[in-house]
Amino acid sequence: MAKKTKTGVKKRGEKIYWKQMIPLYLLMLPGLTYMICNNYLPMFGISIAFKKLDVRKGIWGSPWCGFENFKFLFKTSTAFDIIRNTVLYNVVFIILGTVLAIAAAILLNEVRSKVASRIYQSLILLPYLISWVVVSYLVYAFFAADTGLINSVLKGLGLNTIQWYQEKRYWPFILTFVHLWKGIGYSMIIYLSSIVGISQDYYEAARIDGATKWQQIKNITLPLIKPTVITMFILSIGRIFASDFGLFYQVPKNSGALYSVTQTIDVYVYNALMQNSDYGMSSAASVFQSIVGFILVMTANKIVSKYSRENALF
Amino acid sequence: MKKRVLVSLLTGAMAVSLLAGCGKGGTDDANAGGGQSTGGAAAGTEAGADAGSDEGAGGSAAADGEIYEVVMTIPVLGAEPSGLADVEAAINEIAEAEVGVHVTLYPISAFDLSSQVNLMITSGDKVDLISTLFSGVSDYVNKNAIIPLDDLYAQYGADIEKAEGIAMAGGYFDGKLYSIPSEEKWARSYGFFARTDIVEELGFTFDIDKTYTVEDLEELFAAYKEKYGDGYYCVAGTASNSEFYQYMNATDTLGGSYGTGVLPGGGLDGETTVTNIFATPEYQAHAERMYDWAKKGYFSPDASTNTDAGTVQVQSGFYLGSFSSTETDMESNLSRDCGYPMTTINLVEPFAATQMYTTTSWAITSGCENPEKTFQFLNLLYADNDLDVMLTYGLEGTSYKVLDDGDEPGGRAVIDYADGVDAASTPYNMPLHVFGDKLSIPVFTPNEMSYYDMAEEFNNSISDDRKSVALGYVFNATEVAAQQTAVSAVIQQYIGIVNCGAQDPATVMPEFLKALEDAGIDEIIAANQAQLDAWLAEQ
Repeated sequence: MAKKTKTGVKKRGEKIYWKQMIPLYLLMLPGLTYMICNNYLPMFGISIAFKKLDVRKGIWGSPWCGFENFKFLFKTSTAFDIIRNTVLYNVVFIILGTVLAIAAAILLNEVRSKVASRIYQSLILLPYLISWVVVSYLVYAFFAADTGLINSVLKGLGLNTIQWYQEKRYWPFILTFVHLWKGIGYSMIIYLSSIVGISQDYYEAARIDGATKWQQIKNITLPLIKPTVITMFILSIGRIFASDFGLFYQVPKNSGALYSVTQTIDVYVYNALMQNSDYGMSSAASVFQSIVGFILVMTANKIVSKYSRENALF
Repeated sequence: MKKRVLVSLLTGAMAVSLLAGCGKGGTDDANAGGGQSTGGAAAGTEAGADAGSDEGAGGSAAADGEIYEVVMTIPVLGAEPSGLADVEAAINEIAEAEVGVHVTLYPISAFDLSSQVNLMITSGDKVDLISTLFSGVSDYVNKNAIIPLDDLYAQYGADIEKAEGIAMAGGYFDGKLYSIPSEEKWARSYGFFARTDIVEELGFTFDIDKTYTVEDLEELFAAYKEKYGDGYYCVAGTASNSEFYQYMNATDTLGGSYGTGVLPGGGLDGETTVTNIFATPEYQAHAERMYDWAKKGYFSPDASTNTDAGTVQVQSGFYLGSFSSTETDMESNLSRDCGYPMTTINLVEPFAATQMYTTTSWAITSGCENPEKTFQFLNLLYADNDLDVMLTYGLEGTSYKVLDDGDEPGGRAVIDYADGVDAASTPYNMPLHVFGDKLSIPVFTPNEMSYYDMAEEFNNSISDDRKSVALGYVFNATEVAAQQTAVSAVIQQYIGIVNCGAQDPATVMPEFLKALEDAGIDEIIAANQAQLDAWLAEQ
């Protein structure tokens, strides 16, 4: 839209262009003020990450300390594990989450009974609304070593029980499952909304030409929701260096034995800074995450714009 | 069409919630990043002034400069007590007359205390007197958020000195006095509390005045496990409080933690080498013992991740008891909290080390405009009056009634909830005792007047050879902050596994020690040793 207007106006000369634009810029003003006050001004807080905070002198007056506050992030021998966990889990979540959410959205769109469709939709969305603490106890009900559902079944079958919270090899799967179970309803609704937005004419024409359901999905639905998918994808790439604290801290019950597969940057920062509430180090951690996130969004967008210009975010 | 409207509404709602999320993150940053903006300071003073004028006299007097307005944070459990304003008024009646100070009580949940207070100080809100409950002073000192009190203490601290005695050692940091402890117990003993009914049923007797070995305890565990079997466990409170080594051995953590180096003998044997406790053969043996306990089923299988409080687990009836400090009133406290009468099994004789006095203390912020008056008020809390009683229990008649005031001096008495109120409906009661001289405030029934004699006897029984040589020394970890942070993350990871015997120490301990080394524990210990040597040389 914006691009079209711009080129249209340019033909008529710069002067007219500005005059016409003034009301539009005025309209933008409240939003812009909000953005600057709320999202840009606080960014000066980034400087705390490079300071040794002295409350008496205030944030500006505190002495600079270079990258001192960042050191603790790399001081541990598990720094590699932590970064690997954060990124790999997110990659898996993005891929599986997108595929399953789209599948669920397409299937739900095919449900003809209005009542049933609404019930399914609510049921799929429900886990998204449950707090992580509650989820962690639901998971615990399955995996508790003595009273858990799974171990009770194993015992009943005469098999050896498993100390779930001590055995790390199962947790990548458990965490992925729990994440998908909890998060899929939310992204499904976004995809569903763009699927319902597709004109029925395409499907009608396809049906007349004798297209099967699969062909309709492959050639109409998927291409038409591609822009939504790409937007969602780029947005989640930006969060690839952050993790869902509830999932990685609450669900494994912060079990030390599982750290090598459950510890992500957020969990590490929490465990490390629990004892000394050091503002400098905490903001160093989030500056680190933001910068890597920023770089990843830019890269992802660049790649997308190479591959299909009109779908890139900017 | 209808469906489409619904769906777009839903999407809209989600977009808004996303925006709201961003907005909220932004404002949080703004608060943290705003620094000492004048806005924050103004809001703080305004709030203070409002609170002052609400109570009449205080507001007008404060305006002409005679009376100084002190904002004091008080740690509360749960909601703000309904009787807060009445207590505040009663305190001000005394404080204004005695030291010319008008106090505004600022209740903060005990669990958020340190982060809230930090935020208040950083953003320049008016706050004068802070409780450093649980957090200790090092965080505040390193941010230059509180001031040294040596001169004020020498000038105005007579009542404090009388009340606190050797517990004053807990207020020092970097050779200066930064906080005033409120500690009535001058030492700690450690051990295990077992349910009395089970101990008797199994035919054991434990004398509270004797000290037992861990092997004695193991005999009790074995008998219990044999009798009750599967599903019943010996040790409760495993993940919430899992450094069991400290309940079996006297150790001096030098005002830090197990991650910053300790004196393994508790500083009682004259040894002053700061040691990485985890690397000692004693700790290796301890880890093996815990693994053995786990194999024998003394711990529940999920012990290392079960964060329920020990008292709650004992209440369930499936546990024998828990490790704890065992001095003076702990037996009656534990019996009350667990819902069963508990028997004390002492494993470590009473001894005194700095870390015991650093839990509850009071400090004055660097933003305080009149430290002298604030300190005079602080001293007044320890003097012979009812201020500390009111701050802890509220007002007589409305919150509590006196059952027996004996002939003891000061506020000593046995009390119960006032008629018509109970623990839930009382207008004011602070279960966290953090105010003033805690040996001059009443005790709740079923404690008796004899409690005071017992407590005094306990305090006086601590001979010099049961005091750590490093008493009064606190490690300042500023220079190794990054290492300390990394080490505490490592300890967090392994402590539960080792102490609940979740995995074989033969494989876990080397991993643990390696991780500690990588995180830089040796640098911390070297720094600690250098500071300790300098401190000892000064003494």
